[in-house]
Amino acid sequence: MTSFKFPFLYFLTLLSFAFIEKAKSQENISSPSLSSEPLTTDDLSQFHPSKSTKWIIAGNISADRDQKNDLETKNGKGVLVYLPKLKGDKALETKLKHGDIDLNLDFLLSKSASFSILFQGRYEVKITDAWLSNANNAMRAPGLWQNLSVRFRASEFDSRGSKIKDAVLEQILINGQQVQGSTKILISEHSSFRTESETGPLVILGEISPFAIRNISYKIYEKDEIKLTDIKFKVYPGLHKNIDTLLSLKPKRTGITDSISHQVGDRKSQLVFNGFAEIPTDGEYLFKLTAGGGAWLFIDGKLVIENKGSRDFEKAFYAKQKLKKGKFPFRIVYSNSDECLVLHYEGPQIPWHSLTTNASVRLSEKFDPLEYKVRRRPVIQRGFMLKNGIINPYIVSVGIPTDKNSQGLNYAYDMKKFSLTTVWHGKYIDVSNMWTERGEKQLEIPLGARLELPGKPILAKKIPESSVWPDSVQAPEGVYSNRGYKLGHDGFPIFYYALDGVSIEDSFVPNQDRTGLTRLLKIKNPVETSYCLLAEGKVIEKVSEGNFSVDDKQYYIAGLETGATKATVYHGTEGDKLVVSIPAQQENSMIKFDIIW
Amino acid sequence: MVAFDSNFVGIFSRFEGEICSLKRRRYCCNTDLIQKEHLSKKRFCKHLNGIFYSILVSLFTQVSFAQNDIADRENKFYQIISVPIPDSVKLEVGGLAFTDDDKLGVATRRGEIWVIEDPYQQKNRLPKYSLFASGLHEPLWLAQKNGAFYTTQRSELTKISDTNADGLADNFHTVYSWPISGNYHEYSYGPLILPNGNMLVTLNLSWVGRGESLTKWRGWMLQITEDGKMTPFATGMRSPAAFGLNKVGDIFFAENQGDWIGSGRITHLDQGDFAGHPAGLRWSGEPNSPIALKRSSFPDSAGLMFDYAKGKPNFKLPSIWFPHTVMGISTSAIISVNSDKFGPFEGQLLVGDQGHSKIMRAFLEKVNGQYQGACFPFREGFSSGILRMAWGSDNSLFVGMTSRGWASTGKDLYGLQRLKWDGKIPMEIKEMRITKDGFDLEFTKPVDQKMAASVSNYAMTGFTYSYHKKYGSPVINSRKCTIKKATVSSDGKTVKLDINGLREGYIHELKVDNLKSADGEEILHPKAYYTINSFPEGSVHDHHAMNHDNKVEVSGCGEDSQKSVREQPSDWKKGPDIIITMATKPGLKFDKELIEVRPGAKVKLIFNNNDDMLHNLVITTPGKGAEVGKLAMDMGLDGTNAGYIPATNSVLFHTCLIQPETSQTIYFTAPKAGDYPYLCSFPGHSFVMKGIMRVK
Repeated sequence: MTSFKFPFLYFLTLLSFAFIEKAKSQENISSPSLSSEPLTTDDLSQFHPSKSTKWIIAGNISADRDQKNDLETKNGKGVLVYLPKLKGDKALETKLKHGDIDLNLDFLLSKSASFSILFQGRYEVKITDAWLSNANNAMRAPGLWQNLSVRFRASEFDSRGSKIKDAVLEQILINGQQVQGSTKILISEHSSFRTESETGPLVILGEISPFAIRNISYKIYEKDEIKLTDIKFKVYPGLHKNIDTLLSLKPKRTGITDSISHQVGDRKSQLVFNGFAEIPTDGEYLFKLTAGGGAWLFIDGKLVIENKGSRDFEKAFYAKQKLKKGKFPFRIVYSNSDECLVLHYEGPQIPWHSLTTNASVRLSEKFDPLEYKVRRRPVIQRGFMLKNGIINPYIVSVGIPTDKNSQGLNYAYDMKKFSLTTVWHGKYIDVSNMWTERGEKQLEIPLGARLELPGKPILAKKIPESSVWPDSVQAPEGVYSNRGYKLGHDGFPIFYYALDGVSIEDSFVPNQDRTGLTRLLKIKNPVETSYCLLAEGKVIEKVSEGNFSVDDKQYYIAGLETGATKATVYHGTEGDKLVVSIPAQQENSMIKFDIIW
Repeated sequence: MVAFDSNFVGIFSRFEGEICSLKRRRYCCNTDLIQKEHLSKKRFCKHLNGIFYSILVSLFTQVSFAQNDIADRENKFYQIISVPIPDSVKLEVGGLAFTDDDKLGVATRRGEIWVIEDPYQQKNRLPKYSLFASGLHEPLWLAQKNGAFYTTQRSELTKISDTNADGLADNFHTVYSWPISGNYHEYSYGPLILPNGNMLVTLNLSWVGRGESLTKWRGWMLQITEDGKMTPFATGMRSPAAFGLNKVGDIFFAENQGDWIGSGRITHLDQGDFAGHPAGLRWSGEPNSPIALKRSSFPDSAGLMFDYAKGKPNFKLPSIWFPHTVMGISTSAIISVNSDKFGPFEGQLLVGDQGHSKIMRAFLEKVNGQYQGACFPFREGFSSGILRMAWGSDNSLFVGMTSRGWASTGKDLYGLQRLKWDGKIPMEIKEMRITKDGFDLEFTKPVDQKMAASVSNYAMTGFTYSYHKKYGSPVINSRKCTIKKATVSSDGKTVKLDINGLREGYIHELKVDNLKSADGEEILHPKAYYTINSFPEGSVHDHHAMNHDNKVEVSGCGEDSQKSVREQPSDWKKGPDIIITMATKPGLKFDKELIEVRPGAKVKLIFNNNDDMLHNLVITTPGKGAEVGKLAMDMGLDGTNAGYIPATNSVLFHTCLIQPETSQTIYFTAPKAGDYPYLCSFPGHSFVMKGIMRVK
């Protein structure tokens, strides 16, 4: 049997159609969801025991991004580590057996490491340290925690046991970036599971280099779903915010229907469905409602979800509800302003399903991808950008050209707060949402796996040691004075601004080996001691002098030079901050460091 | 300046060799790139049409010939010259500004600033394009001051300079910024540089199903100093894409039809003025607001703007209304004619129109201390949607264009042309001045005395628009005036009209027929629209209020109700055979370009207008789509009240012209097999907003 190697080649072909998907998948990450089951890595209790194994449990770990096979462990718990130097089994098999599964985990690779995850012991997803590979811009540097999210759907069999549907890896996200769409998969040559059954274990398979895994969580699914039966509808004239009003009104049309769609009713009319909902199992359900106009779902007389009359048909509302197994009356009311009524739910061992038909969705306009290509010089483009579903309308994106041996480097900078908001390797941005037709969304979509940063203004007059660093510019109207950007002769922008007599220049160039960006801050003439925030995150660990890993190993700060001033890591309740204090009367402070991810 | 990179050179060399390549065919034929051989070119192009284009396209050219008749006549006096654009440059013009050394700076909607050397094509047939700056956020204006460019991006006024004089921008300085919400309609325009160096910018309202000011100062004009000090200047704006100064330095801005705005218009603004759209008043309580009017005081429907404004401080009436569809549909640029080197219209304003690809002319006079006046057609037939105009040093007028997302009668996606006066005086109504007894018409040349003295050669109708939060307005309170007397001055240049029935607060349409100059030349544009805000002292006209008939406004919907059946026919016992839902998409489009039905099928068609403009859906007989679009466009003022449904057998079925975010359902029985075009017949939309109903 052939191994399905992790698809570097696939990247090339898949990326071309993947961008619009990508925006969606980014959104999925932050969207509410029922909680997953953890699979603990505090010990090996969730795995089949083995007489000798290369797998151990550790506390903190660290790996030098430049040194092959380097991975140091500290005693503790929470991290599952593969150490090839130990004698024993390469494979680790879960006691858990699964069919359909959504799997999420963090992984950390030593330089050049690879490993595989075999779903049902057979279907392979292979992860290789391909950091900065031209074909793969999703991977982060060795020694950083990365995220893998896989949606696996198992083969289906009929009652006689014959396969009627092949297993499929519906989605693979690495660091939030989709790397493979729905595709037929092949069975690993390492698989010891020769015959397929409806469930099987997860197998993690190490190779010759160490790596680590933590935060494993999953959802496994049965084939259950909520069934709606005996559906009757009524259409009332007019739109009504208070649905009790309908009691006193005469419907203009009534009938029966087999499905839920706004198309059953009319625009500018109120649509009501009544019927029975068969709830397959006890437990917590999460409902998601997206509608153009007020919408309500009642089950057994209780309001399950509503959208507060919203006409934003791209905005989702969520509500959790405990439901009992059984058959209950339901009612859906829709005040049809904008022809969009979409209801989804997720339940105990039930993946997201829709209660409404596809035709009930109002699609927002999609445009063909339009990549802004970076050629010889750095490029700059201002526009809007989404971060966690919220528009930042003050973004400037900068794309730095590739050279033969490296990927593109890109960053987004907030021109209101003058802060770095996002960095990514690979291609620059898709501008189809800006330059097609009216360009209503004006969105710049990064064409790579994003590393999102807190995006706070970096200059403050007081040091908020234990408190939270301010999120807005400490000036009237929240803007700096004397601000803008200059272009150096090489085309790189140098952002400049001032706050009460302190002036800053802030610029980014590729670092020497093009693994990230070198940030250069020039700070002039402080009238009193000021403070500059270099990094913030859950944990900031000092690796060596001038070298840090930030936010629990999300990225590195390397080669920090602060001249006469001193950088300090402050540990606060809200996380750690790396801060430089700029003494008063100092003529010109220079701070320089690399951001590597 | 940077030399072209290899790309551009290649393009230009192809360009050189071109005569009328297929790709540029329209470019060559519809405009006057090659003037001397005008006639023969036209024939040549017509010939090419036959060779290269299918029946569908030749239909369009037939229509466009009729339409171009007036453009051909205008061309004898004012010629349109296309400035060549390299293929690699998407010159979607947002702004135009000349540099001190007479190069033309062009800001584009894609955030670039190009500098064009010798745009006059004096030294070379192909002007040289250099990219000066890029990366700006949708700059929709360009200005130049002390060697630097200024423009607005979505959220700021930016100064763009070349500090080391290498021909490339190297400093992008934020002069002043304002918050934005991310709403698509939050366009920002300016700066208009005032003689004292201060700058004016205007901020579009956001669009949330209606115009709203989601963040501070949207719907306002702001005055900003070089060092970033801002004073709120005026409000009441909806979509103030165009503003400029007249010859004496007074500020005028142009407005587009929309909610609260019945029709396009230009308004003179002083500091502290309110120009009509109440949304910006959300900020009138701010300490630095010069206006005290409250947003909450406006009813949804406020009657006539003229009446409603009475006694309200700061409330400024439009100086001149540009009646919707007869004088454009989207005013987009204002520029003053400050010399006599562009013909006989010194001191007047030229107003561009994006949707109709044309330029109109405005004559203003002060009556009782306030500006009012008349607008006239001037020059049509530009290649794309006009957004900006700028004077060249040779007194030709540069016209920058774009039509992406907003279709225009000029079919190109973008373009740069210039308009040049050839020194001949056209026979035109130069000025239309209100008098105590009526109007004085001053012509550019002496009139034929006999013709001019005949009252039957003049017709005048007064009308106005509703002032309400609904989108647009039908023409209301329309009434004919009586021309009592026409007296010709001894030099033959002025005709004094004594008129009965003029009304204050009304627009007065003048149509002149059968009138020629003394040397037999026909009037090029024999119509005008004068807005009377007040009568001169001592007038003998009827008082406005006495004649004000507040009849219920009706927006009509064609003449034959059988073509627009809005209840399910009673004999459709089993209901419709097919239900079709048609909606709109941004950029003037239906969401379906092809629908299919069986012959004889009972069709229920639901038309949802999801756009932010007025639309209808008209189904025509096979092959008649373009013709119906043209007929609708020619309906003029009558069209407004007929929902732009022309009375013709070519129209089979139609909805009414419906408001943004509303819906209408019609019922009809599908005709015999064939391809039936459907379109939105609102003037200017049908070129792109169309599709085919296939009956088979």
